[in-house]
Amino acid sequence: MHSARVIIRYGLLASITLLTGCASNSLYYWGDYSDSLEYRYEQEDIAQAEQLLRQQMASYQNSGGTPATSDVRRVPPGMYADYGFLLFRRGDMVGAIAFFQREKEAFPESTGLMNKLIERIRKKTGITGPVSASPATPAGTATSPPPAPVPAATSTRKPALNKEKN
Amino acid sequence: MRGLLCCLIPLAILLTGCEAVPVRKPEAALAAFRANPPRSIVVVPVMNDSPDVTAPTIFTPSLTQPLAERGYYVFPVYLTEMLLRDIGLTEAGHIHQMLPQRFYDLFGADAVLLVTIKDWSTKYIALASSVVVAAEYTLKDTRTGAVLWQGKQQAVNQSGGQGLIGAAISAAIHALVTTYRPLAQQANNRAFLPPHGLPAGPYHPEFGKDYGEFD
Repeated sequence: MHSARVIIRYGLLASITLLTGCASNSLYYWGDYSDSLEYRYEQEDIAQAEQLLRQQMASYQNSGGTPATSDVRRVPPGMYADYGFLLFRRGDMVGAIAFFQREKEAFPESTGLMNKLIERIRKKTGITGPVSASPATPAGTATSPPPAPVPAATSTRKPALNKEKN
Repeated sequence: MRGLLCCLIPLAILLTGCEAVPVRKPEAALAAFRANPPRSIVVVPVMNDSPDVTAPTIFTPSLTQPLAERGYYVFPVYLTEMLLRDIGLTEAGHIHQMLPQRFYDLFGADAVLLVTIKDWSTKYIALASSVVVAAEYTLKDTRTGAVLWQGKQQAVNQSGGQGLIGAAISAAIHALVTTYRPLAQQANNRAFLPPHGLPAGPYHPEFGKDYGEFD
């Protein structure tokens, strides 16, 4: 009787431990990323998509999330670049460059494209030198979320890197 | 001792349930893949063979996550679409016809994923209805143009048989996006997993070790 109870207890414990292990082996923390894509693709609600991405970025910063550490919320591929593009549309060129650089640092596979985008912004705006002084540097500390300007630039739905600044 | 045994038996059972048992099979289908495994994948606008023009907008958002979770660098899908648009490439049909090498020039991607929605429909048979989402996935090497991998998925949601009024109501409900979206997610979530999906990429712990799981 006693041993049966032990079996059940250990069995349950082992099951719970292992099931948890099975379920949580995701490589990245995705948060509301798919929602932010749904807003853009399904509803064409760019403002709402931007809002979600901004919150997502803040949540990584608050968790001390850098791609190098594995015990915190890991940023998935493309997300820094996606956010950098959002900043670009808002006209925050320094912020855009900073996030394109972070994408490159986190995922070297993006280097070619990120360099191209950074180069295009630099040529158009004349921004030179390092831009690491931006509020979105990987400080790892719980600083305030990235700046959230009023959604003024959101009406231009189809941003064109070539056309934005002439 | 008995305590330890009690602990080990469920452990063994659960481990078997959890881990995919590798089945050795001829790996000819993945020969090109193995010869040149990609690190990065660019997902270009999805082609739509169905008459429902909204299908790609519902399908595309659920494509990135399962692909990235296989361990690949996936270029941000929205930015990709905007950059293609920027150089005048707005038609998925046209983009899919391009030389794969162009995607290396444009994005620096090792491979390009071309997805075509083959079915996106609600069918009514007697009083029952079934919603179908089907898609085909092709991964091409951007330096050689070779097909690295191909996959097919279909997700179906059947309902009905509750009588005339019930069927009419469920048919109306089925016209909604909320029915198609989970089916698209289901198809995309399965597409890249073993045994018919993609071997683990460089950011996955199984990278280089799991070829035996695929056929």
